[in-house]
Amino acid sequence: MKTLYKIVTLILFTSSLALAQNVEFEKSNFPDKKDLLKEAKKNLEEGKDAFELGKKEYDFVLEGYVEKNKYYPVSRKDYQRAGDIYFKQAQPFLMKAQEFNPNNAELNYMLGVINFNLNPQSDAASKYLEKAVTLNGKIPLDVTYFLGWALQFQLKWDDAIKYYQVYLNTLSSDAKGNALAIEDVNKKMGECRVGKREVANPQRIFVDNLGPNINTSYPEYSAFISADESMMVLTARRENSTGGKLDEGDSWPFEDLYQSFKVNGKWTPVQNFGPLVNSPEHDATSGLSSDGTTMFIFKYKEKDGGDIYVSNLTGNTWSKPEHLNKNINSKAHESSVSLSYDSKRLYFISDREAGLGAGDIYYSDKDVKGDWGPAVNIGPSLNTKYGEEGVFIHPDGKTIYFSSKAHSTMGGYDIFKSTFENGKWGEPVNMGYPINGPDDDVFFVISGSGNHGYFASSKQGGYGDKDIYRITFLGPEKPPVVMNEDNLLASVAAPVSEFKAEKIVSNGPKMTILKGVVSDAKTYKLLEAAIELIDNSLNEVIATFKSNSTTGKYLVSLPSGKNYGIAVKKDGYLFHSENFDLKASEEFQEVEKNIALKAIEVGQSIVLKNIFFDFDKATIRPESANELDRLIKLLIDNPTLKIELGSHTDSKGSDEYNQKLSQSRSQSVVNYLIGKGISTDRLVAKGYGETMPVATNDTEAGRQENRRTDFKILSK
Amino acid sequence: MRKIVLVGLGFLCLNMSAQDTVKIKTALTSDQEAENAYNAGLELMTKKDYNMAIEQFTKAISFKPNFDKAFCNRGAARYEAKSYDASIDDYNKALAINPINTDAFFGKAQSFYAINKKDSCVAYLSKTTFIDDTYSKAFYLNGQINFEAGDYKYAISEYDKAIANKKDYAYAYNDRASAKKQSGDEAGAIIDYEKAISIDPKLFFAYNNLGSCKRNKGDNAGAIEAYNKAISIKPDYYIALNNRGTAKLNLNDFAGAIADFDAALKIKPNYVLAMNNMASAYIKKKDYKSATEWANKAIQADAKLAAAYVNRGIAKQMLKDEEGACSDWKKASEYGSAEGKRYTSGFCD
Repeated sequence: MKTLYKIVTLILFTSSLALAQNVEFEKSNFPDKKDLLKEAKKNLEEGKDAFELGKKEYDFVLEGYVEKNKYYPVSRKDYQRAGDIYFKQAQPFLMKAQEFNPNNAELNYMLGVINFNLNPQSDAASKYLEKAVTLNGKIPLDVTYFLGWALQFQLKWDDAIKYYQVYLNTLSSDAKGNALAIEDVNKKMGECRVGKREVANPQRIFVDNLGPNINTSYPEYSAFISADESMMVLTARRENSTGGKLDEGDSWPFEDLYQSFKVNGKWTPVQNFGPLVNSPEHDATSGLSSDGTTMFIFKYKEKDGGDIYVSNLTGNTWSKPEHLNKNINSKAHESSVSLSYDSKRLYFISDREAGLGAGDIYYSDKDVKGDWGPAVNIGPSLNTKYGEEGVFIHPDGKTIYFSSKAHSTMGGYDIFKSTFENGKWGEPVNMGYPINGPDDDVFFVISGSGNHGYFASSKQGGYGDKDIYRITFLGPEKPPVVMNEDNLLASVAAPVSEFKAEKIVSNGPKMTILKGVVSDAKTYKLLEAAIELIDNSLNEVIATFKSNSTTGKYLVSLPSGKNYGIAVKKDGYLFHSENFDLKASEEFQEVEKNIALKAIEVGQSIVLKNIFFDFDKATIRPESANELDRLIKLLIDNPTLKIELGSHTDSKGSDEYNQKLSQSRSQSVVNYLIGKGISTDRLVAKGYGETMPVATNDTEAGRQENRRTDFKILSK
Repeated sequence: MRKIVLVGLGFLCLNMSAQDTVKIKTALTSDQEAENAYNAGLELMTKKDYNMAIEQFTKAISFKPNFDKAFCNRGAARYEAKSYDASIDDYNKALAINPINTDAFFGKAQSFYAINKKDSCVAYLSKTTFIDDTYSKAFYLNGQINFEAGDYKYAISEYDKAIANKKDYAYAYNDRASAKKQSGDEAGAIIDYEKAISIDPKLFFAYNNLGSCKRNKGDNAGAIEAYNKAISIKPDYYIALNNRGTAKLNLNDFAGAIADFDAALKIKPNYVLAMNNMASAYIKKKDYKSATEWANKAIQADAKLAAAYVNRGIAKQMLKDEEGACSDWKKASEYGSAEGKRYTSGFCD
């Protein structure tokens, strides 16, 4: 985009414009306003000097960017506010000159470029640039490029394409360096076509500002939420930030991390994380685990290009942020992070060398020692040469959200969604308008239910600068249900009814969120306990979590398609087990399960929910192994314990049959334990048949509860 | 509709009354009293004075104890007077005198149907058609029983037989059309409804049913035309008004739809279907506040109306009352609505 001052014959651009006469700042044009003209020319010169300095800086940054990246900037962020200081200086002088003479092409051009850089979403830029084009004057050729982009920002897609096309026509494909410029203009025209399509088919969403408890006149952005939306962490640049310093680069306070909680459906006023997490430098949110107990923090130091740190919540205290290892942090810039539901894979953004472009999505798997392994580029299906940012892996484990300047963006960064199917990431799908627009749309996160998203925006009507907004996804339009009836049978009085509603398809995530509080069954004391998530089909512990030591709260995400065992364990207590057999088609659900752990005392009993038998037989199924091993460990750790293994049936079948089956099953469990070295005299097998139901036998759910194996402590 | 039953299936033994009357006139003089009473009974039947008719038939029987037709018609009168057990008793007596009296068999079947003993009804219909395989009314009633049991295929075969034996059997055409409709053959249904109407242009319900078939096929303009006919024959036909409103709603004629639902409610103020559909119309009109108000009314009238909970949930969601929407969809789901279940699992946390 070299600034080429040429005499532009605007008729070459387009024949459709009604051309007006350019009015130069000359005596002949203002014969009776000598003094005013003098003043205006002075303003013009001062303004022009500052503008040219700004434009020079802008062009310098631009050339450097193109040289480095081999493509033209796509996002506002790419310009790094180049020239803005000079543009701000120039603006008041040029505005005074404009008041005197609004019909000077060059002046309109300068005001257009300034407004485009300082406030691209306003219509001021296109207003001045359009006027500059219609005035038959001496202005740079890039006026139509800026005008196209300014119109793109205002969603005037067809007009934008028109001016881009005019600019494209001025670029000779033979000229040196024009290939990238041509590629850029073609890309932008493509963005406009996408924008036109998306705006014509807007997403059904509500977008709501989160209000004064979260947002202020200062910038708030980069919000992350726990999967159940009970907590939020965010970044803000407020006057009272830690250290109280201003960033020299932009004169804004340094970034700090803040948190808020949802209480009775409302977000509480944000609280600063305090000096343990925040420093006097930039500290920004970078990611949050779905249970809200692991937070990733971005800290910028020039020598490391910006790195990721991690802090963990224990009780009410967040730990001092720790630098992630070199597999994650390189000398390049690392920013956004997202942890998989089982905490075993970390997705992150890095612009390290050997990537596919500036800012790629990588992932790293936790090794057996619990350290992050080598970074793997997620590949070209998601990464592009234009750069990706703001990665977020949904707790369902197979839906990824990220921002990209490529794919089918409608301008700048757009948010995309991709689903992992058949061993690969599917084609990224634009999240659509009005989530995305022609400006940068980044740092989008979504709740476990998929019903709410959060993002930051500078849109008008907010509290100032960037604010956090919540998106409510309404899903496809829900057709109302109509009721009709007909007299189908001539000789029957009662009409026959029918109810009609068109079917709609829910595209929501297929997963379960299990949450609750762990406490002592007798004292109700809230407990920190280990929560193991087991894939029963593999008999493998796939993740371990902890409940919070102060609140006893826990949250586990369970993507559909697996039979999960959940074991809650704490020393001195009997373990508690749960089973969730989630079919692949299982829709989203949130299950609240408060767990009361029982101390190891005589008479205490627990149900072993992950012991499975073959249908109508006493053969223990292999997926019971993990639960039985837990029981064995309990007996080894407490060598004096004597227990009764009880088995129960539902009421189907005869009493005699059920009694016999339950006795055989409890004996099978006892035999298994004996086979693993537990002394016979510590174990009693007892079949209860259908005599001790814990639920109704009239429903399948009740019968399932009644079919169970439990154990009781007989002596300690 | 009950009137239709009377015309269609009642007065079992009247069909034979004309020729029987002739017979009776040539009978023995000693039976003259019985004949007079019998004929007086028939006359009273036509005037729907069933109790007096029963008295006359009883008188005829007292003069002539083996008068099977008097028993048969007294059975018919008792049926009309809703004394179903007594009517069965009379038909039994008629059959004791004449074991192949098909009218008595059919009458007995009809009475069993009335007291919801459908197995017995079917058994006597079977005896009727075994003796007389041209007895169209028996095939018709058997078609109806199978229709009600959801066996539309069998019902259609029975209606076929009824029509084969009575070419102008408008009711059978209507009901066969309905059986075809229920089994998914909307095109076949339309042909049969149109035939029923061609036989009897006053069949307002056949017009209504035709309209619903056309509406289901997406021919809303054709449906409105058919509903118009039904309403012109029977201006207080609120069912057709409600249906016409739905067809108008499908054409996004919100004002027309609302006017029709309103008219149906003027005729039947507690008509929950129209109340619910009012809510649907306002949802389509994007007037969610009015939609909520109408769904409220429907729920007030029927606290278990799943469709109204679904609709109120939709309106509440659009009014940003997410919690209220989810609460309504959960209720709808509890009351058996598939939409309620789907929206709860898809959109509620």
